[in-house]
Amino acid sequence: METRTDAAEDPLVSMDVTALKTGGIIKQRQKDLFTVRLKCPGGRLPLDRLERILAVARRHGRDYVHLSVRQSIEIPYVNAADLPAVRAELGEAGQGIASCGPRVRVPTACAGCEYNPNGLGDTQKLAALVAERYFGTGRFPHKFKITFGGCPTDCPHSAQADLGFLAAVEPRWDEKACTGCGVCAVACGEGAIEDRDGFPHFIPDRCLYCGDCIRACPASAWSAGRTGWIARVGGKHGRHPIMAANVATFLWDDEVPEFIGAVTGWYERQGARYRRTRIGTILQDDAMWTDFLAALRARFPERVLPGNLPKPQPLSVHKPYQKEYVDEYASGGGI
Amino acid sequence: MMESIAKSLNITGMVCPMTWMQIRMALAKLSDGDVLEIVLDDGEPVKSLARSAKEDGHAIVSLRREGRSWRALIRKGLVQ
Ligand code: SF4
Ligand code: SF4
Ligand code: SF4
Repeated sequence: METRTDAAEDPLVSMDVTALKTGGIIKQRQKDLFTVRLKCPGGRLPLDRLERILAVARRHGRDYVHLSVRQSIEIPYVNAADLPAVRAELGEAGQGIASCGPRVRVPTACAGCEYNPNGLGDTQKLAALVAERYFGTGRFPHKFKITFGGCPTDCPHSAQADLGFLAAVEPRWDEKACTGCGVCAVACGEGAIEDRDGFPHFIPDRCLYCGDCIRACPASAWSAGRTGWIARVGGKHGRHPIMAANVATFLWDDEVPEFIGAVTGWYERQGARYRRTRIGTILQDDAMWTDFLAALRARFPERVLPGNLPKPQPLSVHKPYQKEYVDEYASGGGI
Repeated sequence: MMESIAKSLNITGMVCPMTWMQIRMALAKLSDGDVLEIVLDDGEPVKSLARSAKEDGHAIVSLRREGRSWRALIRKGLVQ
């Protein structure tokens, strides 16, 4: 004989769905079970929140959590009926839930300069600022990811974020202090310092602004010139990856929020006629790229790189990247 | 300038972080102001020497290439 659940007995009849509205809660393939993705900007998690997450996962999940590739903790196997309680229990400890959809996502970042020997900038401070000020905002045609890397080594893959920032330092050489030991030429992995007649010769075009020469010099003959953030735009991974294009250099910490505002503002404005299209795909269109650079130059004339900059670079992984994708998105076709 | 060398250390063939740990342990046996002589490999070891020494407050007295390796003199820091 068939058994039926009486509608009145189904706990989901009266569930408060506000817990689901802002995203970060992902339907599993198993009926009525959800994965809760947590907001962990920059991958940094204070221990008191970690303890709360553990308690919530024990009560409402199974015997593990999952670390997402974007530095979030995910609690799988949460019952739909438990979602409001999970949100409330996490919220008591100040632990938020991530977002989904066409918004600014939780920023990612490496550890940066606090204790990483290579770090040149405070990635964690800026990731926290983005999480507070921009997380969940935006009326975009698609998602928007921001990433901070502490140096040009770019462990957190800022070149594959919609907007990536890398801390950078321009080296300056003091001839009087130099002993001619030759260590800086060994330390520079870019061939930007050549040993000529026993003294370093700097080739600026090759320099990535990593600061290795400054740290390696025993006589402190190399020191920091301009410092700040390199900004790159239009990267993404996924089915059709794109490498971001560098657009600005040596942004100060307190210019970063305005720069984010300028880029996201442009994406909102010009993205309005596209459907489900990332900024890097829109920027494949020559007119859009020109318009984008003009908009940025108007606000950051000192920082935006001069000249005809190369666009974000699509990578052919599955199939050649086709301009038709862009046109198809623009006409509302989507993929 | 002639320096009297309190101890000599050869760390060629070692990789990070053993390179600095060997130096750190040798420095532990010296007094402040003593000079440690180190022979080390080209590349990463010589690249990171000055940074590590400065971070811990020691002074590089000299650093020069010798054939395929490098020779450094470090004065144990008076700080801490
Ligand atoms: S990007 Fe640079 S600072 Fe950040 S983890 Fe990598 S090496 Fe360290
Ligand atoms: S900053 Fe980095 S890339 Fe530039 S010269 Fe120094 S070591 Fe080379
Ligand atoms: S490492 Fe410093 S002292 Fe040695 S050659 Fe380079 S600039 Fe001169």
